[in-house]
Amino acid sequence: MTTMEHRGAQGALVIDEDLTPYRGSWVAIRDGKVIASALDPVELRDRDEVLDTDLLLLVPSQTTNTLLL
Amino acid sequence: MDELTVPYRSLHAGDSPRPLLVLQVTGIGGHSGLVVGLIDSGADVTSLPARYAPLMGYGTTANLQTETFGQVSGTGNALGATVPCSAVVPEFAEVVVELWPSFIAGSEMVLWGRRDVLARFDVTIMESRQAFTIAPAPG
Repeated sequence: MTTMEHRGAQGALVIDEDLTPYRGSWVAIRDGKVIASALDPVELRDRDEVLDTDLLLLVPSQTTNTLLL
Repeated sequence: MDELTVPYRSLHAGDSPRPLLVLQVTGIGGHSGLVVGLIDSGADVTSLPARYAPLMGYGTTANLQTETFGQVSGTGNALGATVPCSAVVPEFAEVVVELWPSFIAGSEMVLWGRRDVLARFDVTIMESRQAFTIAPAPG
């Protein structure tokens, strides 16, 4: 068994920054840091500083302790 | 068999840790990127916030159609893909999942569904350990 703590693609979810200021917008994450943000995901993806390997994430607009789907 | 154990994650401060999985999604326009979603055994198919549609090359009547879906509080409308895209779990890139995603207005969370992503992987939720395991399904 392999435990993926901080390696590989799943490790991209180790986000060091508090994303609260970005609620409702899109962020590009690399190495746990926000590289860029935008309200439009295509605009964000097409920025020069954003790489194909960055995680593009829509930051939820609210914090939810309980989620019912 | 290779198996990953992935800890639950929170997306931002104060949010509850949940079983989030990162997939490399390739849209119908050929663009590819990492997308994080919640493993949702209650979702028949994968759904994404509508704002993901243009990012994945969707947005015309040639590749989307209106569909009705059931949810806890009744029914809702979504835009369903009529053209598939694909996704892989990067750590298991040999397993290519064909996705026919539904795009839901007002949603802010990607849900990896049972008939597509979860049909190709065995996933075990270990709530007591705040982690899940994932491995390619046999066959």
